[in-house]
Amino acid sequence: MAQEVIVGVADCRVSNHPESSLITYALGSCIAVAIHDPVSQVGGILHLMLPESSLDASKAEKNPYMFADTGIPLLFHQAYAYGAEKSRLVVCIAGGAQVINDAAVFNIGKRNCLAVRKLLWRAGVMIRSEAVGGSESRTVRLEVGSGKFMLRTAGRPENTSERRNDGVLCLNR
Amino acid sequence: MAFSVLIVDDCPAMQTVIRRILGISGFDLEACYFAADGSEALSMLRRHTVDLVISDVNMPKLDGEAMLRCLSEDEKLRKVPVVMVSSDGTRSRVDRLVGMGAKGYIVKPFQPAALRAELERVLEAENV
Amino acid sequence: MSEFDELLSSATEEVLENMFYTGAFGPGTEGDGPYYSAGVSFTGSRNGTLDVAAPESTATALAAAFLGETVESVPPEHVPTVIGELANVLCGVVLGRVEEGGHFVIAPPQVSRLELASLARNLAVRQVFELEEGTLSVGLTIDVSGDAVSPDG
Repeated sequence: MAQEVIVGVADCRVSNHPESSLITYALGSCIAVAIHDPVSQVGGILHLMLPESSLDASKAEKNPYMFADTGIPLLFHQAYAYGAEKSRLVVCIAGGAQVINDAAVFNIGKRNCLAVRKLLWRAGVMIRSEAVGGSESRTVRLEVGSGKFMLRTAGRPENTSERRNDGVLCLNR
Repeated sequence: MAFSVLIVDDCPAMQTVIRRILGISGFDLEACYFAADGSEALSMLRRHTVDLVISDVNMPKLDGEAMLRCLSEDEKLRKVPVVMVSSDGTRSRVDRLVGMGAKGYIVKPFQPAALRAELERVLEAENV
Repeated sequence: MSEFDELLSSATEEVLENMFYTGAFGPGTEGDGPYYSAGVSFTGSRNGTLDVAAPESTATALAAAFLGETVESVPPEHVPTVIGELANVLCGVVLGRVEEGGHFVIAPPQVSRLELASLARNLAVRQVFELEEGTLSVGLTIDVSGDAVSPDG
């Protein structure tokens, strides 16, 4: 029976149950990093809030999933523990919007997006698709069995990730 | 199937970046050669078997456009597919180089996934 | 903001975000040197120059981001070449937007290490961007009808 696993804010879930779907809601300035190994059928989603743990070391110690630089390595290592391999992982990211209460000078959404891109590039991981920026809230769902990465942008129907040649998610516009 | 690549760019850092993208893209590389300009590239192509060329356009000595012209005039080398990687994305340049035989064109700045996607497209189209 | 100011600003953001994983978060103030400075000249539909300059620490951070390294592991000899490539790519983006149907030849970048006081300032359009890693100065001159564009337009 299909099981939906909710990934909360500053949270991370990894699964190797083919019937499971991982879902995370209300991605404003936050970023969801979704990874999937099609061979071992392992999938994971990290819902991070901020780019760097140096912003608040004590918070990072309590909850490393809050930050990109501490959360992303944990997401990957948890996936490896289930049998995923780095070279096979398909990575999609979503979120990083400029939300209405985010003062332009802070631009947390953009900082999160750039931090994630930089970290993954440094780790030698390619991003398959991105649905980032804009000003709307997003919801993402990852089917662990199939690896389908489904995206919903506020007010629009759910859309399956389509890889465009430029690596940008083709949104249902 | 493993294939050999020649990366042509006068910026050593960009050579490193392209090589890195090839590595993390999971391509099965038999060999990777480097050249700093079109002249050096032609010399490498005459010495080594290369299945794909990834080349900048604006380079000293012999630029990417002149290199492409030389390749198109060589019976053997014209069969090697060339993907241009350049900061010049003007319509006139892209059309001219594609018209001269470039099989792919990526405009800088690009994200790694964009270069990988273009290389995958060209490799498939050219049966490399 | 003039047309060229806006163009330079948006082009710089695009290049920084896509190849250097860095954001430009508003105007900045140049600090103490030494600086890495890279200039590219271009000819064709229009002639001119584009210059970038960054303090050594910023240039090292940009090089690290570009190469996928850490600041500690980036080979020092790559730092000037990366700043040169930044100037080269930025120039291409700017020229492509100045005149879409135009044709240009961009010369190889000339990179130097300078003290703050020696940075080129007599450029028609000049902006200093605040980055997370420090500041980046970008300057542009485009010749119009054979004459250099003056800062007063």
